[in-house]
Amino acid sequence: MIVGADPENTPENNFGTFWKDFDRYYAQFSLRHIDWDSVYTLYHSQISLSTSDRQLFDIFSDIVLGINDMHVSVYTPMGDVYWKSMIPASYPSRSIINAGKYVRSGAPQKSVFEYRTCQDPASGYISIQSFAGQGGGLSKTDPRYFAIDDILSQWKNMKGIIIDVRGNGGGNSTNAETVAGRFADQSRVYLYRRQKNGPGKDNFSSWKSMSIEPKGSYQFLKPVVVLTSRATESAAEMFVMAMQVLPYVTIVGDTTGGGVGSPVFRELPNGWTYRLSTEIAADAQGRIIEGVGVFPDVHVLTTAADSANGIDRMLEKGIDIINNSQ
Amino acid sequence: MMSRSLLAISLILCSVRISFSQESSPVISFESQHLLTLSSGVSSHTVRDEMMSPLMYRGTQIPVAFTYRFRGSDNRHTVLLSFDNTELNSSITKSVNDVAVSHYINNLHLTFEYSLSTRAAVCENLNTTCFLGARLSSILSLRNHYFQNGNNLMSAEQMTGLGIYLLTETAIQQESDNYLRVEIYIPCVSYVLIPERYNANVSETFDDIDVEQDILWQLFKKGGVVTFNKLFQVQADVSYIFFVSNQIGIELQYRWLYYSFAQYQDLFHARVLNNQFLLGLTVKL
Repeated sequence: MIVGADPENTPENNFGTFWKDFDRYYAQFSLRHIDWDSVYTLYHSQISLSTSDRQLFDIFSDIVLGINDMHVSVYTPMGDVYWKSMIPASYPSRSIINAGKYVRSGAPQKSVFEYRTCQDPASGYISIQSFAGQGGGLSKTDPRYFAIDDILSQWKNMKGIIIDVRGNGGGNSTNAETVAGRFADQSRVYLYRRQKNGPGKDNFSSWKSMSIEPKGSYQFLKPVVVLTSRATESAAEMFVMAMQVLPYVTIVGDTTGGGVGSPVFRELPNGWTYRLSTEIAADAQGRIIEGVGVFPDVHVLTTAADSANGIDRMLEKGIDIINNSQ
Repeated sequence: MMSRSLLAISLILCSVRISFSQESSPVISFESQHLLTLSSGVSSHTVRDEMMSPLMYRGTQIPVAFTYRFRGSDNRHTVLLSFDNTELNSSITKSVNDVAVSHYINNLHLTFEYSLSTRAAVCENLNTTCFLGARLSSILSLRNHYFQNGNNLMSAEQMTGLGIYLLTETAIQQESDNYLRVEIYIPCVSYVLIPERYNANVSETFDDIDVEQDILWQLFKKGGVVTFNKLFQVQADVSYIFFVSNQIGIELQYRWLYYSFAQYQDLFHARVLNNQFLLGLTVKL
């Protein structure tokens, strides 16, 4: 056949395809202290023609959990395997607590944004729970995110704005850039990335910079606080890095999840899908954030005791910063 | 490489007239004709896009094609537009559940061609005239690949090529306009869009794209010129036209297209095979 025959759908070939693709294109072995050859040695001996789908699934699960990268996952008819987030179930810092105490009720919702004025109406609060969504074309901005223009046009006279991305697990980075651009005063480098571009472990592109640019008809250039947590991940971390380089923006909260990665999707001969990170990202200071996260400017945690008492320590700090700004 | 290809095409086009202009009486003798054909039938696609999957995806669809042909005494001009939008499936059963439909590709295939050729040789024993020239061909193959669990990604090739075009016309009956056409086209140089293919991330550069502007227009401006080292394409057509009246004819056509494209040297080939069986209604203007 002129386009070539299908690869054999055997457990060994499925494992081999998975292992080889990671071997060539996964970018973060050394960052995560993984000896990929030993992974092959360990698991290949457990696979034979009689290996069942369930056994293969369990092997992939072990490998994915061992890599522990939020952008490495396997999707199968038996379920999906993701990294194991280190965030404890009781982590209280991922969303607003006792909202009525801090922001006014009757919250309007503008598509993907939930926005309200604070109890002091001189400040605004915007919650962005996700940057998911695709626009038309190939990877264009989801048009729902242009609603930020309407919100900011209403809030031109605000003293400051708090943007809450504590529970934002990411999505499409173009949406994050679109929102961040509405707060940019000029072009500023906010991220460096390098790609795995060859089969060798050290085959990487050179570092390339990404810049945030002023976007939209109006940019809000007054004090802004961005609330972050360990549950702020992926494209949301790109948003945080883009905002962090702006001189009137303060990042408040906890260190972010730690993964940009620019994942790609591939299929195995049995139709299972997997995802792997092909890049390494660093912040504007050149500090690699993969597996580490973006450090806030002001580190504040809402403790379990705070949560039980209806206190959102992070949001309180953000309001203080806005109120005390010149 | 590119300049050599362009030079080769130019020389071919010039030399055809010089070398064969002494040929006098064509075997197929007729007045100039303008022919319009509207065709449809079956289009079969086979795709292996290594950037997305090791699996081969196949599917068939009803295409629509529109062709204009000018048949002069020495020249041939052809313009073709064709379209089909096909669902492609792999050996893995397409699954439908509450989350998503997965394991299939939505494949949009658009073609525009303009061919110009001039009489190059006559083989009287076979009632056949050979024409040699060039074709400008533009193909869009846009694939939306649906993976397990609702993940989907786009992949595409859009190439506009200029290449060698060979046409033979064989008169089936003397004193009639019925004839058999055989066409072969091989592009020598092509302008290809999407220089940084998505879901690959193996190049030295990144797309510098303004995500709030029209992405396709930006990609068009970022295209690259490639030759045989990255794009190998062959297209062959066999068609038979017979007239049922002075003005109305029927055309039976078989089209075979194959291309292999690799943005990065010898890495992540997209191999596409398209077979079309078309039945057309031809009107002589």
